[in-house]
Amino acid sequence: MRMMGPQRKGKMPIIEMGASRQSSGDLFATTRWTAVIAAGMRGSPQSERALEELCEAYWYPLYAYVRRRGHSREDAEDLTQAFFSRLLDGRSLEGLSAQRGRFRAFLLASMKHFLANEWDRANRLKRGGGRVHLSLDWATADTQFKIADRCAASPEALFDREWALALLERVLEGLRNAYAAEGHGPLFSALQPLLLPETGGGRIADAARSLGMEEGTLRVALHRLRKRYRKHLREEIVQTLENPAEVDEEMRTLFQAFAAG
Amino acid sequence: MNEAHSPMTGKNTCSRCGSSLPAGVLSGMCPACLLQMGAAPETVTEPGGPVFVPLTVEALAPLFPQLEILELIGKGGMGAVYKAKQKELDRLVALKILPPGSSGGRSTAFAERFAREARALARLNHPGIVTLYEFGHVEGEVPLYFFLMEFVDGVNLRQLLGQGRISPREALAIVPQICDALQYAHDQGIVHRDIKPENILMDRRGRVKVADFGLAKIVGTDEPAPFDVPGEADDLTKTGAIMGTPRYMAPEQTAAPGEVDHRADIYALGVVFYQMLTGELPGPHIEPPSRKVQVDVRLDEVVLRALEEKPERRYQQASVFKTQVETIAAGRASSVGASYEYRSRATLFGLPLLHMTYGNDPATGQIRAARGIVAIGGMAQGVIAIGGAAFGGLAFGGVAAGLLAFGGLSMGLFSIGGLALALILAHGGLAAAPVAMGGAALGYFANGGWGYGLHVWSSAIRDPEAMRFFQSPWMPSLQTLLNLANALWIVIFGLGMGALFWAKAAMGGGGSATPLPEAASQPADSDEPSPWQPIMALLGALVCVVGLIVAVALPFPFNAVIALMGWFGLTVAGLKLMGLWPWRSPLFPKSTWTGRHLRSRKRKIFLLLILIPWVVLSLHSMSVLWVYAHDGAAKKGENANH
Repeated sequence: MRMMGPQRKGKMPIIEMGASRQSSGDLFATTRWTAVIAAGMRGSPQSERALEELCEAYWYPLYAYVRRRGHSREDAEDLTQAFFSRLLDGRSLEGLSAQRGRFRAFLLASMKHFLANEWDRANRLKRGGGRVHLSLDWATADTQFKIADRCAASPEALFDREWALALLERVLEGLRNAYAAEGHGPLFSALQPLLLPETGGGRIADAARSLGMEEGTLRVALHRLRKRYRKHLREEIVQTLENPAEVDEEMRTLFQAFAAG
Repeated sequence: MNEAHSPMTGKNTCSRCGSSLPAGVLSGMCPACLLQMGAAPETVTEPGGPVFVPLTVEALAPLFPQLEILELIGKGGMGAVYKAKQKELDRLVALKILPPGSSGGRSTAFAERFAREARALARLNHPGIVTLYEFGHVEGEVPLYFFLMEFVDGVNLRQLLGQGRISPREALAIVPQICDALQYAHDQGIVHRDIKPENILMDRRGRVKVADFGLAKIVGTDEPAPFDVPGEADDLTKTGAIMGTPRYMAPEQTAAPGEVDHRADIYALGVVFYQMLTGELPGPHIEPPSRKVQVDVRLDEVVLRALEEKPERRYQQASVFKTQVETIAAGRASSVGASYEYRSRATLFGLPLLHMTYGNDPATGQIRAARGIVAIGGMAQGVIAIGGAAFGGLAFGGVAAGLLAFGGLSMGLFSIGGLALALILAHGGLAAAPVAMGGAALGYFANGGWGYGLHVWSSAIRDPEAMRFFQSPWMPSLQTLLNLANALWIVIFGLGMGALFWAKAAMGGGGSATPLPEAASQPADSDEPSPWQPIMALLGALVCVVGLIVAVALPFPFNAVIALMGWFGLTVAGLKLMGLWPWRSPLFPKSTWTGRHLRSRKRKIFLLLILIPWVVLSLHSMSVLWVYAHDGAAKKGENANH
């Protein structure tokens, strides 16, 4: 059911297996992703890894964008792979300063530039050649793309939307893991459908009954879940920003991607 | 799940916000709603922020079967407003839905509070207040609270402000209506708490109505609710703390929201008033509106008092505020008829050849200054100035200052008049100058019935030096000239003022307004500092310096008198520089110049320049007095011996 963040199959990435995702707070404690990229990927191993993680989380929107620009499946795969190789190899990509520290906007602008200038069929990066940082699940991505909405919106707007979807998936997954780590896995599964408030219906009463909890206790738990959700959401967004103060604006932008249609 | 299948496209849409649901992701939850939930309620409700997505008209309709929901007309932190029609009554109403999160979940205490407040609001029946018809909530897991209110067909003040600055006349018409509404509500014990341009509506007939009364108290509670689920109250209190638009909130409202009383409304109204007049919000240091735009100076006081930090220093009643405003509005209307202005088209060096004024400027309520080559008026500045207070090259007036000054009090290079002070020659009833002639003469060379000075020729004293000087060959002709001038200046003054009155009368009597558009008078009374003020300050300084010199040279008591005058002048100048001189002088009605207009370093330099002669003069005066006391005693001793 969760299609985003395709499972890593096959080739292992450079980072060690089992390295747990650091808590979002100290992900970029020392260097921001912009500094890492600007320094040609010569940051600390942690920050490089963190950047890789970011790319792993959000590569699908880029792939979908490339497909929507009219490229075939194979070309899109090659292009996406090549793009990320360049990025994570430290070769400079355009668009850094113009995006004011927003990873999402930076990726899109760099990809556009990449598509416009860098792509050359003759230089197709051979699979396996060069340092491949990310192992991306093309098959799932293709399926995902096929069932996606065929709206009339522009590829850029859809990119933002899919970015938001990836972001939210990450947040929910992070929450799930956090609850599981505390031993409240089943509670989260029961609460997640109630995350969004509703008018009408007695969902909470039903859920409380099924869990064997008091309704009041469930409400408290639900409230706490929403609070943590908000916290995680903001932290997740802050990861993609150089300036944490812009988190509200970024949220607005993502929200508006859905408002348009 | 909140899904609604659209049979045509097979797409799922979220019933909450209407956006399409992507298939197979997020466990079917709506990403837009998830994002929206992520934003609230920690974010402050600023316009433009997607903090609260209002329900679509279609989603709302089934919840209110008795209404025909027409359209969404506004949304903000306080909720969304829809235009609707009551089907049975066939009347237009405004339906206001509070944000779903504002009740913090199902809370009986909240419902009671809501009902109590809403009943109080429903009692408000005033033409200036948007009437509340009904209130209630739609049952559900998250109850939807709503108000049914009078629909106002018009615009709100925010929209008016967006079109540009509101004229003072309009503002003075709007504010009293708001005061009326506020006073009525305050009398009922209800405080609005969120006065801002968005809440002030104007219908097509120009009537003002205040909306959203008391809403802030309902939506943002400041009492802890005992039966609420712990944790939910945090959200409410947080929302309560930021309820009310920050920029319009009184200081005590941000600091202690629970202890706010009706005077917070007066503060907010002051902010709105300020914004109407100047187009801007008052900054951390409030600049009086008359300094920013062309408005009546008396409004400054009113606005500033409403904007006082401490509630006890503000107007204590909205009705008092209203009276003050209305007085000014009435005053402006009456003074318009009594003013007059004429400015000639021809100009020389940027100044009109002839400029005559009478009375107050209708826009600012201050005495107009005539400025031109020939200036005639209550206050006149020009190459030839005639008026009550005249400054310039040739100045004729009650108070005249200039190169050649003629007047009751005349100061200049050459002065002729009742009290004549001059830097070169003075002739008059009391004349003080290096060369002084007249009834009482003080100066280096003094000639008069009563004279004091270095070389005096008076009835009592016949200094040969003085006699030689005053019998110089050119003296007789000068004397004639002076006598003539002394006789004539009043005639010229009379002629000038006569011309003014005649022209004013010719324009159509006392009720005539200025024939020139208001813009033309702007350069004369503009906010630019008058060039004359520093000139007069310089002149004043020169007079003080002369006083110093004269004081040193002349015998007692003349030197002491002049020194005293100089000392006084320096004191005034010093106080002004330090910003401690609180009074507006009648000579310079617009003169609010204080040292604050200078940079602190310049100010310090000037203060030093003033302080040194001030100290010297003080010491000199004291020493003179001491010497006199000593000498006097000695002389007495001498006389006694003769």
